[in-house]
Amino acid sequence: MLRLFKSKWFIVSLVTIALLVVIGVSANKSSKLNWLSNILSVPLKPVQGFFTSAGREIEDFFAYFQDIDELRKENEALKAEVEELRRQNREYSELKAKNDELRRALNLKAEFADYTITGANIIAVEPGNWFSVFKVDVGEQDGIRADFPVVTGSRGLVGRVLDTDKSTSNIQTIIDEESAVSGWIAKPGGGHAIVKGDLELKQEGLCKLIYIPIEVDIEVGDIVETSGVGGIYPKGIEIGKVIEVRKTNSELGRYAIIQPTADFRRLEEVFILKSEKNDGTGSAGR
Amino acid sequence: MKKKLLFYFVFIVFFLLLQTTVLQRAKILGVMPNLLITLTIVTALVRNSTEGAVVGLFSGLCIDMQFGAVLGFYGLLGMFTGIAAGSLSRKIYRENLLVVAFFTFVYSVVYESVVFVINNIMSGDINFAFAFTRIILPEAGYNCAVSLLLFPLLVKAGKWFDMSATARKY
Repeated sequence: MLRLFKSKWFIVSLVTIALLVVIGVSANKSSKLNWLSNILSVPLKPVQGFFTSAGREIEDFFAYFQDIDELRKENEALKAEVEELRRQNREYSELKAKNDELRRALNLKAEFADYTITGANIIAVEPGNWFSVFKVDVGEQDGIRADFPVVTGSRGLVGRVLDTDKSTSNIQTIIDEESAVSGWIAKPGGGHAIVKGDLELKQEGLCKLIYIPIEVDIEVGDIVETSGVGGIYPKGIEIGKVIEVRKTNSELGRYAIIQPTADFRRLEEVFILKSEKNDGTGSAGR
Repeated sequence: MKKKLLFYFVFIVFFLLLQTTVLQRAKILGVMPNLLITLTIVTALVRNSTEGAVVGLFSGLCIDMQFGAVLGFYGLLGMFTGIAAGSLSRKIYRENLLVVAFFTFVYSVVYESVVFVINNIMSGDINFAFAFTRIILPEAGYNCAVSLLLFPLLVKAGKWFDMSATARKY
């Protein structure tokens, strides 16, 4: 009997069964077991933040020497531009004040009035070459829940919160293979379609638009926005623009290649839209 | 034993940190090496299947805890990769750098193929040809290069473990 317990195969099968049970239990997102991931993500958060920014610093340091000439010229150009912008800015402030006044008068809501916006820094990315998921430095204690939409500073759609730990969360980008977002082709006679990640396109930071309705005349340059269908993303966030329309084998089949507004290769900071309505019990998962 | 555990622990955490942060900037052809699975395979080949399985299990669990959709998937896969690679180490001449590099390549291809198939089995349109030629093969080649660096390190570490193990007996 003792020999059985010491046998390698016994230990291996025991561990295998234990892990299969853990896989089964943790597949349920609301399972208490998922709390275990805090053991690693909480202490690693500052270290990962440091490594990521150190990597950036080193890259910037080398770029510094290459750029110095270019920067001198750019500086001249920018000085001129600053003057021009100052002038425009004065005009803009006046217009903005007027606009605010009119908005209030009309009782219009601002773009994402139902949401509060939280900034987040990317501290780590998923190991391996398959998915496009990254980790940011805000989590449950900052009020982040699964399925909250994530955008860039320029309001381009990044993706959604996949899952959260105490102080970090994982973000699934729209170019991830497992991601599908309901999109709206924003032009007269536009229609609903699905923005989907693709393994091949992901390498170039692109994704594709599928299930384009037959009656929609889609062209290069068309803008695709979120449609608001599905309940995760609010309506009207810019996803990207069409850069190519391809035919598939079937006669009417076609899909479009989308260049996302968010540049996924240069992403450092993102904004998470926190809604009061979402209580985080959404059916997240991949 | 303590030395061994500490050695592997430090390496797994260090590789996990590198993998998830700065390695992103060292991509060649859009692909980066998988340090943790390379460590698992080389450990299993140079040392034995038990050490390979333990390293595979714990590095896999680390990935699960950080990014996994479920807990345990990469842990299980890592453990079996360690066992599979280790069972071969008795049959080959494992002191040879090129033999280890070659089998690192082979096991990386198998490991990543399994990851790809399991993750995509439900999705319908599997583009295996693309995945194989553009991701799995370059990554395996990259892992192979990493194994060349890891090999002398693990051989030395192995001597260090064995030395302290025999020293205690007398």
